[in-house]
Amino acid sequence: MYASITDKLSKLDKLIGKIKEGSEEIGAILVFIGVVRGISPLGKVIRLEYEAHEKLAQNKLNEILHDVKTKYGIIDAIVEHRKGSVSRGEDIVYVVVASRYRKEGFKALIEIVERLKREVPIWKKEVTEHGYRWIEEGGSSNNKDEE
Amino acid sequence: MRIYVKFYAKIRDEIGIDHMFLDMGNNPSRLIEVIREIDRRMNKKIIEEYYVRRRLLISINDTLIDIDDDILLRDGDKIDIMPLPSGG
Repeated sequence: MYASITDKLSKLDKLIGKIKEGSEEIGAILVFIGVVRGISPLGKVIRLEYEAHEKLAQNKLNEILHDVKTKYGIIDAIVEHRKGSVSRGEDIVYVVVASRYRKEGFKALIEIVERLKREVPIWKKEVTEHGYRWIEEGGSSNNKDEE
Repeated sequence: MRIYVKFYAKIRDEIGIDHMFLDMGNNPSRLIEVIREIDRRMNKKIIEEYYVRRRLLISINDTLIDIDDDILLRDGDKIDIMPLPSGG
């Protein structure tokens, strides 16, 4: 298991290959890809700007992976999350889960993604053609004109 | 007693600075006292609002704390004040 906050995501097929070769017990591999949405309430999205408290974020991601592995008995999991500027349409985050059967894999994948969004100290600023806003938990925000 | 305080993301933008050093006198200070001192220095009631609404994360020396705990800050402590996460 590993998690990273990175300027550049790995190739997804390499992540899947890497996790698959880790155990012959794997019967299901589940993947979540977070993508920069092109439209927001402010208009056309240009990019998202990600900021993290890297040490705390890394520790929290490790804790989440450990918890989920213990809770659902999955075989392996990988999280890679971008930092810095991510343009519309680009991938933001990969979560890959390997399990013996699909059911525990789906549950584990959902829990990792939900906890990542709720607990890991990473923040995003949405920059659109009309301005920017910090996205807050639950999607609320304060709007500002773009500087 | 000197404390280093760093602000992140939206809170940093609202308060208008990246970090500050606080001199808090000779005795250890409670977290809420430090928060009020930050707002007093900045002449804006920002951090206490986040604190009252439970809309922030705080770490002390790179360990996340439960903001409801009665925390005492000591000389040389580093506090990170962060909004709630919005990653993914």
